[in-house]
Amino acid sequence: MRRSYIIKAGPIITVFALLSACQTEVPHPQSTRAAEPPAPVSPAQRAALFGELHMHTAFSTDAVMLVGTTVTPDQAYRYARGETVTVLGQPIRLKRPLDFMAVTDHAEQIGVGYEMLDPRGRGAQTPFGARVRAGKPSMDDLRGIFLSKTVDPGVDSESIGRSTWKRVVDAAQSNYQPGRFTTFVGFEWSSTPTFQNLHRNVIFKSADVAYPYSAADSERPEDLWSYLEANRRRGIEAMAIPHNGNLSNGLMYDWKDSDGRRIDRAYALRRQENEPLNELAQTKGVSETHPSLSPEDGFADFAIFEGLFNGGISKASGSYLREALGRGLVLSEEVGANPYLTGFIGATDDHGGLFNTDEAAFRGGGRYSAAKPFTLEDARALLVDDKNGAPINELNTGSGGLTGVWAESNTREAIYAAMRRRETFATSGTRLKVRLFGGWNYDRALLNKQRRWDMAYAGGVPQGSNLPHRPTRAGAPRFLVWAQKDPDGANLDRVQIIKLSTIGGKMRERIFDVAFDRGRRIDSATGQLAAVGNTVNLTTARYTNSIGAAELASLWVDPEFDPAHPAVYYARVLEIPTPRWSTVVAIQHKLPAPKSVPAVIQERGWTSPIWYEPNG
Amino acid sequence: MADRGMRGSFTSFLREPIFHFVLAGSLLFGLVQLNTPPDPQAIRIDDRVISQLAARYQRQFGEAPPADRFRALIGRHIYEEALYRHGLALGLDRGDEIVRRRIVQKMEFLAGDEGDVGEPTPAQLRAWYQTHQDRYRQPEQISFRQIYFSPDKNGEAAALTRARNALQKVTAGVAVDAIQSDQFSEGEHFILVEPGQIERIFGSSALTQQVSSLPLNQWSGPLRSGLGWHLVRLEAKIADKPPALESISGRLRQDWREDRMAANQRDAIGRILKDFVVVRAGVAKSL
Repeated sequence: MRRSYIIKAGPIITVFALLSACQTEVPHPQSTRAAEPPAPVSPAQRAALFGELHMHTAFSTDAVMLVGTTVTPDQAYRYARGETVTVLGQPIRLKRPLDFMAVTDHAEQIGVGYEMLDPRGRGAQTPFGARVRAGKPSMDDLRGIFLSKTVDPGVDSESIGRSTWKRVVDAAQSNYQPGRFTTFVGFEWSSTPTFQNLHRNVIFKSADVAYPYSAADSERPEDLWSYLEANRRRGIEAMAIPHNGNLSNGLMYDWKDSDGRRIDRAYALRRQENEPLNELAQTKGVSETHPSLSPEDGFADFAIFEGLFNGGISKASGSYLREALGRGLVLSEEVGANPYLTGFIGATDDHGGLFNTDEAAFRGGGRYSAAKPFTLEDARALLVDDKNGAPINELNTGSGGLTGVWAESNTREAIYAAMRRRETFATSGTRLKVRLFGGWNYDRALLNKQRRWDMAYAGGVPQGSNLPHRPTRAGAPRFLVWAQKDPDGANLDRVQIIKLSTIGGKMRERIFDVAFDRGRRIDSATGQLAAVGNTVNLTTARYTNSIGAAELASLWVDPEFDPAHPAVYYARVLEIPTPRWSTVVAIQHKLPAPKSVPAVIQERGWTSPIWYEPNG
Repeated sequence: MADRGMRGSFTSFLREPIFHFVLAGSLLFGLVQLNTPPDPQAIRIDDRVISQLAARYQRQFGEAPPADRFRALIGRHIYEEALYRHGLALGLDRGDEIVRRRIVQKMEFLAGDEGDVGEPTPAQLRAWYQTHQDRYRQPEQISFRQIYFSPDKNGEAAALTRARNALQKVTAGVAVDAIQSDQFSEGEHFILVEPGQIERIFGSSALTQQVSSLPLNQWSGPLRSGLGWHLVRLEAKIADKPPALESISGRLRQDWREDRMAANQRDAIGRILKDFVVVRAGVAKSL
């Protein structure tokens, strides 16, 4: 393929190629660039950008109370884009900077904890402020953050909130560097009725923003949508991204609306419009599926986190995205619109303001900041399978996920547009890349074509879309799937296509291994692909890329297609086994590896789905 | 004589400390009369107070206060003013660390706000740029081509061997198109890319570290990236030279002004500090 990697498309490139032969006076591109109008970019030029859409800073009151962070949004953005920042007197720098980020502090009591950290601040003298500064919040304080009705911080939260919000927007504005690093303004709406998580992150398209809507305004997602819709009518565009369905106790992807009525067409259409994406992977678990929901999926038992904050266990049914895709099909047959027409993203939900998904540098999703020295005692405390007085069991947390978008340029416009059309993928923190296209006429030869992506876009749709109308004589849908390893990470084990369909109003789930390295075959007797193996050395925490593949691609045709019923497909890519962060911590500190969590994991990526709707 | 005596005693009276004392006292008294309400127990809510309250609300919430909010604001103002004045009368401001810090902060703020620093002249802008060139340097950019040999085809050793053989061929003049290589999904020709972009594509690898120091216009390698083996031909290299002044004049102007404001603040604070004599006693003498 002759696709060139171009920073800014345009005629200057040609000029430059000519000039470059004679190494003498070369004009600096900066001076010529400005004069050139931007050339239209074909979708085939879209590149994968990696970002974080769920980051808390000291402006989140729980981040101050639980993690004790002092990192501001400005510092969080500067750190994410690779600048050295000084936190707690330590200069620190992110090894692998991000392409984009949204700081999403809790709207509830936004800025209040930070204000109380300052002994000069308003409210520093209140009992609430004293508890915040001591890092000893009560359970009521924590509840109060999300439901400000129940706690009185003793200060004018709204006035603090207004000035905090201005700082949030300013930080996003001053750190936006189109072409290099994109910032989004965001906040988290943290509705948690009786400890069941209904949280959504709101991400604004531009710097035209509205003051955050909080769970104190309403706990109902429908009311959050009304806020978004009212803003949209005023020209303020934003989307809500639900997260941690795994902790919703069945509420996040329910059959019913907030009033207990079965989802109708109007609800489905509003949810599609306001929630085009769902966060699938993050520190507090992966919400793809649960072993009890997907008994035939040999890889379903990954990063399961189901402990509610009050000690209960979240019910699996209604809490996971794969099942939601299936429910969406059932509901769309019923009411003519799919409420769960959603793409996937990954994020960290870090509460320290310092982005990290590196398994070798992760220290549990809680108290241990990258800026603080990590001692043997800390390691010992962290590896105990217990809450240790913290609100979550940190040993069960994962190193956090990442969002991949296929976008023409690193700008708010291009990235937000990719999010809107759901041309995204989620990863468990690794920077593998994955693409899925669906169409009716794709040809196997496409895989080796130089202009592969031009043809893929011309003959079908990318991840996140509905398949084009099925031509009369077409057979089953065809899918082009491609994945590439993280250049600094592990090889790929396999690519799978996961299919949900309906039979007689019931959901059906199927998993197909569609691409894997040349050395392996699917056993014709069992239909199973042999395991990839394991190179992890449990005394050194090292692995080698001697198994698996650097790149996998396949053209897959659905062998069980039924044109009469809707279906949905997404790709899942698995890496070869690598040590889990807890194994790395144990080995580094010469401690026994904890028994209750796996020593090795298979990091992975998930594309947004592609849907089939029967014609007519 | 008498006249002269009168004049003499009048001028000497002008030099008397008591005159200065009385003069200063009456001036102060006059100022105080102008600036404080006649009755320290009276809290006056006039148009000035109203517009201050409205402006503060507007700054914070982005809109004029609605009528019901206004009554609350006035109530709050009366409440705070009464407690504030009574507290001052009791001398609560003295020895209070919070009040002390607030006043220090206010002074710092005022010192930084000593009038507009104006616009830089072209010469000042140039001089600023000359002395701060490092701050504006752009990262090095390079252009290169690469040929890829994937370990997915027959493994790592085979990929390396294929790359070595290919290098011999291209060096001997065989056309690149005739080389049996693998398709690299990120493209073959990289134009004006920066180190950060190269690392995002090729990983933190030998290729990333060495590519910009390869000889120009000839095939080099094989170099390992995070994805496999590559032959690389460096075609152009733009050192991290500073950009033209005109292309960044907006940023230069902004930085110059910020620097000036910071300097003004330092000067203003310096002038305040200069008027104080520090007396060290006890242990402090040796610190």
